[in-house]
Amino acid sequence: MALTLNLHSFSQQGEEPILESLKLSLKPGQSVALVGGSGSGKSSLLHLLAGLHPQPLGGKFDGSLETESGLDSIGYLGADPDLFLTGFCQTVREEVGWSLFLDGRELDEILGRVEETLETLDLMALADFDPRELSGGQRQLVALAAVWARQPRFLLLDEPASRLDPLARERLRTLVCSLNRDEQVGVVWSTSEMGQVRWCDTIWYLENRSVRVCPAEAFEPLSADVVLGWPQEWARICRLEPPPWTSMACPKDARIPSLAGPEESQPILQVNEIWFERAEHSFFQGLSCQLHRAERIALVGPNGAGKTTLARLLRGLIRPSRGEIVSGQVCLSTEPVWSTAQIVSYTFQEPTRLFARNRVDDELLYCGELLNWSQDKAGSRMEEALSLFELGQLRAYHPRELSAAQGALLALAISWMVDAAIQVFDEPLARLDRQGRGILQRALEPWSRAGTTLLFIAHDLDWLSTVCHRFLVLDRGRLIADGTAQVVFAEPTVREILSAPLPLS
Amino acid sequence: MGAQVWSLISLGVGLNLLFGAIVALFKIPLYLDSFGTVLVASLAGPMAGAMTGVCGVALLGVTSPTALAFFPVAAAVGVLTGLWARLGGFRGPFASVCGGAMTGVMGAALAAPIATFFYGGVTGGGTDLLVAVFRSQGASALLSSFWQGLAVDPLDKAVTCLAVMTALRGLPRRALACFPLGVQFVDEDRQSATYRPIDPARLTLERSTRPSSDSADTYQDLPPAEPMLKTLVVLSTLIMAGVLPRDRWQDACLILAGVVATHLTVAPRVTTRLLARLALALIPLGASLLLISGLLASYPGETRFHGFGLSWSVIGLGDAVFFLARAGLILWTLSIYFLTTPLPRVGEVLLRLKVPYPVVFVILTGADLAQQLRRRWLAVEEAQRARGLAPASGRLLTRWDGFLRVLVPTIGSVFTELPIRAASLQSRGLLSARPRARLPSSWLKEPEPTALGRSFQIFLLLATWSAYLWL
Repeated sequence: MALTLNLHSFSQQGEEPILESLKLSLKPGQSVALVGGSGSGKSSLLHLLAGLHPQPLGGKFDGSLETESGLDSIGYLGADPDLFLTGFCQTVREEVGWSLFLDGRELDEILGRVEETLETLDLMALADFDPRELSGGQRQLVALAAVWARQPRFLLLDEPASRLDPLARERLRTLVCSLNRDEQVGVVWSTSEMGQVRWCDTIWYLENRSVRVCPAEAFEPLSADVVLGWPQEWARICRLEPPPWTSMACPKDARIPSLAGPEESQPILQVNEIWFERAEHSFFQGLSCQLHRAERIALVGPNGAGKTTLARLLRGLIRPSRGEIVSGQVCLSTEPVWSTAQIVSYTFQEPTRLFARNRVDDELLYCGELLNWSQDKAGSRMEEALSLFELGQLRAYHPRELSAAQGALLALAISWMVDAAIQVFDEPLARLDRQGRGILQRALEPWSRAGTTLLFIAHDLDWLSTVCHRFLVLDRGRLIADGTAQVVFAEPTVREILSAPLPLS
Repeated sequence: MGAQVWSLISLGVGLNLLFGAIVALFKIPLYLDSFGTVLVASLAGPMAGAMTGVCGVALLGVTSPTALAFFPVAAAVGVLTGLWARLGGFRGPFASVCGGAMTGVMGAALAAPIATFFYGGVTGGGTDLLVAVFRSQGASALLSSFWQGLAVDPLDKAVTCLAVMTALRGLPRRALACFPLGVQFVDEDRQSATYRPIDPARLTLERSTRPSSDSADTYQDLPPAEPMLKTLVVLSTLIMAGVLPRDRWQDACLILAGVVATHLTVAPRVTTRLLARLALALIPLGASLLLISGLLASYPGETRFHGFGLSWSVIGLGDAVFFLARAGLILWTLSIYFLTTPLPRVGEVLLRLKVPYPVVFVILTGADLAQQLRRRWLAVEEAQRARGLAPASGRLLTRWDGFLRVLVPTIGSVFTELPIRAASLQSRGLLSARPRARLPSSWLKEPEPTALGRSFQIFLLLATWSAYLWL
């Protein structure tokens, strides 16, 4: 009853082989964590297991895939629910039942199976909602339900949690765990976070085009992975230690340059009593704050607190209904967006949105083109950006062919090119692996030296508390705390609001 | 056909539907509504192109039934550009323009007899003006239709092909390699970085402060209609279409009342802003109706129209105005009726009518993909604005350049996802159908009518019937 993959080699059209000589087998009831650095071929391996190569995904596949129960017994789910949901079904029930209807099941069977699926996945409360109106986490659960309704014996999940907030991620993990335990489903879950690995019983570790299989208890990251920072994190996870930010008594990292001098008294950006309302829902009611030169600020808060809305207001993508945002003589809340590109720059949550050209270096030059710089200036700044973000090797690549982490680095390089006075990063860590985080951390130094104000929106308080001087805590549109990490985390209300579930709870 | 091609066709249909609206935003005087057809044909060949064209017309027919009769033209555009792509005709700008222009000529030749036979040469668009000009020169209806097509189509198709070629050049290699004809566009040694700063005069040309998020609510989805309302709609459509013939002015009053009620019930949250927007939208519609009815009336003698098994004749201005207003209202009410029927139900009915499943699939997903594409377009546009790209304004070529600067990244971002979209369709079993059961009616719930809507419906149903019996 196992799913067996015998592979001699696999390569994409006209490229080097991605995977070579492996033999993997997935048994019912087994749970596997598929880990490896970014670009190591995790997705390709899952596609091979799901029988999606060579058709429809193309590529050269030399090997065989064997399962006794047929390809229909394999369920596959990726990170983006938009690509999995039909888009025309109006309720979650329809969405889950539609593929059963197409499969030619009888009416009673369809109805029964849909109710059963919704029951198992605890989605009854959402059954009559329109899938198009649900949140990202809920849509991901609906997609899982639609896959599960066809009664697969094996579930292949390709970074299904990478776009979810910690709560939704935990919910998804619990559900998959219960399917694995109670229904004896074989699960492969690919992830780049070690925290997710702990609940699985086997680890498939991808390196050098091959897979190392070992039981989770015996897993030891190799010394070569020190770059990725895994041994340290793994050790912490095994010791079940809470993340360091929860005990903020420790002294601050000495590497953060201290703020001093007259610039501090003169704010570079002022948010004056802004109100923002949209469709009977008010996000901000008289929010004020000031940003100073060369500050590194963390904007934190639970999902739905208005972090991204505030960032978009700062960039001028949306306008406050009352109040204004001023930088020097320029009123950011009335000037057209494109004319203030050099005052505030904003890195979107999905970096691929920004890409407009065919090559990585062309993409960076395009910034200079839009701002009407001389070719020399644009060229020299481009070289700086390429070396700072370690993209030199990739300069001839198509930006859309980069891996998620490389794409995120390119987006950072674009914001470096623009050289704005204030940089706003929306979830820069979500797509960066350990290596990418290291690169970002090194780039902070030159940014601060140039006097740029950096504002990070992120969930990883660990990381933020080592790089940021100042924390702004947002809750339901109100700024409830503002100060250094020690001051902010000393307040009980802040600790309560930010107590996202620990990775191992 | 593989999963890749299926999802490509759905995307093509979505693009076709979307483009009319977007081109209007950039104030470019063309349709470009076969963009998706040409894109699919250039990557997956003539058959896929033809299917995109036909399915696109079928979906477009929901809102403008006049388009339905032109499905052979849409199919021909797909076949011709697909053959042209097989010959390698999309590799350079010159060849693309030539291919487009030839397709346009063939399309015009095919469209003329259809327009003449079904609609007497008048299709209700702005190009009718040209038909009238040619007819006033003494040409026959068929010939003036053809001349009109020849004046517009080759240019439109040539520009469409040029835009498609530009978009293809911006696509990543791996996505292109997935398609039968895509390999020819893979540029092995991609040319090195280019640099052309924007003319500084452009940046200061126009400082419109239109907030970018506002354009998002312009195309709100209609909320679903209520069941009784639909009965009313069918009834008024029958009266309007002349199946239940009455005196025209009494009919007109009934129809007007029906339309007002339709509107009030379909949009329960009527705001002054919405009303103002509708009024604004109706001004050009009214003006063009008047213009066309004037043209109709200026034809000597009687003009006859055929369509859907019925025929009308028009003599003089009064007749012309009435005829056009009636046609417009029929289209409007029908579109409300169709747009508010749950799509899975439409799919089930089509499958029962033995429509091949690929067509049903494309029709079902095309409309949603147009929505997704529109969101993607807005997202890309917003990101480009944030990077400092000013909105296009001024000369036509500058506006065209601005259009391409948003178009190419949008197509690129959609394409990068195409392989994984295809994979998910296949793994969810959505690419084949052998249905046996009926869809449970408890799923496809019609929404609860509001109190106001219900009372209006009852009032109107009674009013319509009593007026009908009294007359």
